[in-house]
Amino acid sequence: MSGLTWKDELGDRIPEDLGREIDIFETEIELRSQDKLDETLFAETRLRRGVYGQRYDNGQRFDGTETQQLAYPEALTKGPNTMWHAPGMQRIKIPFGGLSVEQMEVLADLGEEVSDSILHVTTRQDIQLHYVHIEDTPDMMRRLAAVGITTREACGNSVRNVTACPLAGVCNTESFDVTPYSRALARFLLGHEDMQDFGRKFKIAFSGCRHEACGLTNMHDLGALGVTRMVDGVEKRGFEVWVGGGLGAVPHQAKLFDEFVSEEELLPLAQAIGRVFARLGEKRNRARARVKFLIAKLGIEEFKRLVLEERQQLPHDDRWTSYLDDLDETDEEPLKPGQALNGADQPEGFEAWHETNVYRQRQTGHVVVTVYLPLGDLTSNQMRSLASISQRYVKDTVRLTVEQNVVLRWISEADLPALYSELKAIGLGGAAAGTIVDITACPGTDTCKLGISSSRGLAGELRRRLAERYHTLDAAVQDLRIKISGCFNSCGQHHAADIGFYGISRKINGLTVPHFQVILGGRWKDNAGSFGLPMAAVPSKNIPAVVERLAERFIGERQQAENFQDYIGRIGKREVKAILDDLAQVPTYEEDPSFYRDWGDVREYTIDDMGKGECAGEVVPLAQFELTAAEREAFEAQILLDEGDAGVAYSIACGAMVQAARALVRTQFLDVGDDAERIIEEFRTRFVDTELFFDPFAKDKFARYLFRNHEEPLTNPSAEDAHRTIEEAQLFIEGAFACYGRISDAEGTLAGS
Amino acid sequence: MPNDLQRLNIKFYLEDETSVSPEEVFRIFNRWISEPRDEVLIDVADYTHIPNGPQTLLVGHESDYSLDNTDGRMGLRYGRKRPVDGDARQCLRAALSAALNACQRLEEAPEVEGRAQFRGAELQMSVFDRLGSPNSAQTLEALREDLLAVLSEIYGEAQISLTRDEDERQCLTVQIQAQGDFSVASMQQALAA
Ligand code: HEM
Ligand code: SF4
Repeated sequence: MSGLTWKDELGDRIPEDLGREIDIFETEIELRSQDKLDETLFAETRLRRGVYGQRYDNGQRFDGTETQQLAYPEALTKGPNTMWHAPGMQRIKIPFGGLSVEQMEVLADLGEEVSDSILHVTTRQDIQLHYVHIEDTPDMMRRLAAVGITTREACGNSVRNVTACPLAGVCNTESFDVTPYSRALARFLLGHEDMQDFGRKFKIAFSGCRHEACGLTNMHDLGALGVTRMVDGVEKRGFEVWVGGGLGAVPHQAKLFDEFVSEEELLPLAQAIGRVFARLGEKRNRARARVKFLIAKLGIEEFKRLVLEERQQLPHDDRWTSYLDDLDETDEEPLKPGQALNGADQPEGFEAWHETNVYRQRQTGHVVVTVYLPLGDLTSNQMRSLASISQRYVKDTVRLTVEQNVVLRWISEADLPALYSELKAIGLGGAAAGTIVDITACPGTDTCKLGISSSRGLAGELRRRLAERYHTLDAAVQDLRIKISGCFNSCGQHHAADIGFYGISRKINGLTVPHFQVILGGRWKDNAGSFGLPMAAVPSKNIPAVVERLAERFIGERQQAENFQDYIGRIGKREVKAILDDLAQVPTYEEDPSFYRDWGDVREYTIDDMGKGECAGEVVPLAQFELTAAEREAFEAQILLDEGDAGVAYSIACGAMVQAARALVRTQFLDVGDDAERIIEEFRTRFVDTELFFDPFAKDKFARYLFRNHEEPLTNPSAEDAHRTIEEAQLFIEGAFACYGRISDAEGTLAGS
Repeated sequence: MPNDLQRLNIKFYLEDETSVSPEEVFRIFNRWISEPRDEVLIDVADYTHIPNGPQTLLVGHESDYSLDNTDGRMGLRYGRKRPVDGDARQCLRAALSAALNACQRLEEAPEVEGRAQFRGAELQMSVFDRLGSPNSAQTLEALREDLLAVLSEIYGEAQISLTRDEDERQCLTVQIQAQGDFSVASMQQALAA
């Protein structure tokens, strides 16, 4: 053995601070491997470095018939219920999605050497590697650090990747290039001592304009939208700052903090917000720990007052403004002068690709090319070839997008045919970027521990079907966006899509059937301008039919240039539900067993891989019926909200939760009666105190929605309050369905034993 | 003590590229997880949405297996991940043997009814370790004797050619071609002898 190590090999190419961090982590790995460091502590430290767990890392996997124990060599763990040797996911932070050729090459190499030769682009401009062994992570981090990439704070309760429009700097509608600001803020906050004591993650996004979708500032804890203002006759750059947005189980639209924060004030303001969040944010209850909950509790005015007060007390830091001298560091230059296309020969398929994958830059003669990645994946070889293509056509001007694609900026138009041929040759010449075929999906049951249904399986299936028919689709349908999450956590950003789906499961005739909630009415434009609401729970196998039917009805019934949201709004939710009603039905296993398997899987479906809940108790078949009634009530609340009656919608949504709780209580205590107080008390003692209602991961999160809405009812709810409560009711009811499923399972087991 | 020859990959090519589909292999790999042979197999991933790469991947703890199309030709790839003890010859033998076992298991899988047959005379060896085994003529030279010794166990006296991929950004990859016809079963027997 030569004893050669990456640490020696890379030497001082690893920045000192990052190197030290990685050495510490390596020591911690060593200590944990000898059982000299507590597993929970170790889990926290690895998560902060982007080292995640992955599905089946509890050492179990359902094989379609029974749960198999995976016989890892040792019983050692890398966190509670997380086997040491189980492969994990590595998230790699790519601030504003910007990549250099050198970085792409290292990522490609690492994909091969420590992962499965596949690189995955996430919905927040990160790269993820899957199936990584914990012991391979320190050298991987060193190789990344040597090219200026860190995985630090890619996960955990910290400032996550700072995202920005992938078109920043070349966009036609931006006020100015937000790239240097996003880079400066990311650098300033990385490892900052004021950002270490959060109860939950903190996500930041930058956008150059209000109306396009690219930055998605509305759904972030801190959104900075570049604006300019005349001050004393001089144009000043600044940011419209939005706070408290976020997706997750219950999405919140961000609130305006300030219409104009000067560029000098941006960093200190972010620091002050971080301090207030660290001091006052919820710590114990993760489910209510994001900034959005703190703002909902305090009110935006009080939050603002506290932040500005904090700002006044901050000790001065030169870094707040020193970056302003280097704003041009991120300026880009083309490799080649911009030249028009001028009737050059066009390879086959070029025209269709050109139509959807090419964006004309503000700078004449140059364009941005979107490289469409199916399901956000590319191989190490493709990444390496892309690096070489970038080197020959542009410079280090490559970015990842939140739609899980790659963009090459500063392409000379005249180069497009040749570039297209090269992309095609490496399997990356796919057209239809940014269309209905370009579906966003979170990892879901493929690799995520929380996945309920197969978001990637469904995305793959929809993509196959839609791609075949793409050219026959009406332009208005081609333009629709589909986004899919494998569970309610919304990593796939399903709220901000024309058609969104999130994974749920339902117990039908004693068997578990994968489903998706259909979410309509969301808006991708305007930086995720509005969030959709659940319409119906449909078995996974019928989701392609849902898309097909909605598209057909939309085209058939749309008035003039009406867009999809307006169409859905006009026909109303009752009608939408009627359109989908028959698709919500599940045939018996004997009639069609395929409904009992998920997309992209050959196993009989189960949710057991998420982890087991504790169940007991008696079941009356009535429960399913009553839960469905509660769900109908929640839907009714949506209709009333649409009709402008927020007050009634709110109380119906609260009522629907009580009704669902009652359905569960009645599985044990039929005569609980109708008094809400009594129902909630019985529910608390029978289902929450006993943890019977606990979701394996969300624990009692959804039960708290019920308790809070009951204990602190809103006297004059706004439309936003009602919207949120309807979401909460839907999740609570979903939780009740899942709990009922677990109870019936337990009963099945008892009956069988 | 682990030696320098880590992350060894061996790929054998299908006689008829279309004889078995990624979907079929997906099912078979799933079954293998429930019927492991002296190793921990964990999950199967479907990558058929990517043209040239692993199409269906069986993820294990020590090693992965995939129906692989990375070089544009369909075959079965075995990839060792966790460190192995022993010298270069032992590592090469172990990897070859594991790859051949997997090929045989696929050839014999009832699901494919004998359709999947591998061409034994050609294989690809790659080492996914740019530090320990950089892609250079020197590395191959240093390895040549051990490699030929192990190959002669399966190919006997047959003439063998080794062609290294000279793209230095790739990991060490050697295309190995023997004169003659060799079946998976015969090579396995030879290696076991
Ligand atoms: C082990 C796997 C994962 C876990 C446990 C997890 C957990 C969560 C949770 C609990 C939320 C809701 C947070 C909240 O608003 O309170 C969330 C949101 C989100 N996650 Fe994940 N996640 C996982 C994997 C991923 C992956 C792989 C991606 C990227 C593809 C991702 C990207 C996101 C995004 C974009 C959101 C939306 C939140 C926002 O921007 O406001 N997550 N995740
Ligand atoms: S939405 Fe759910 S299934 Fe998808 S990645 Fe997030 S936590 Fe996992």
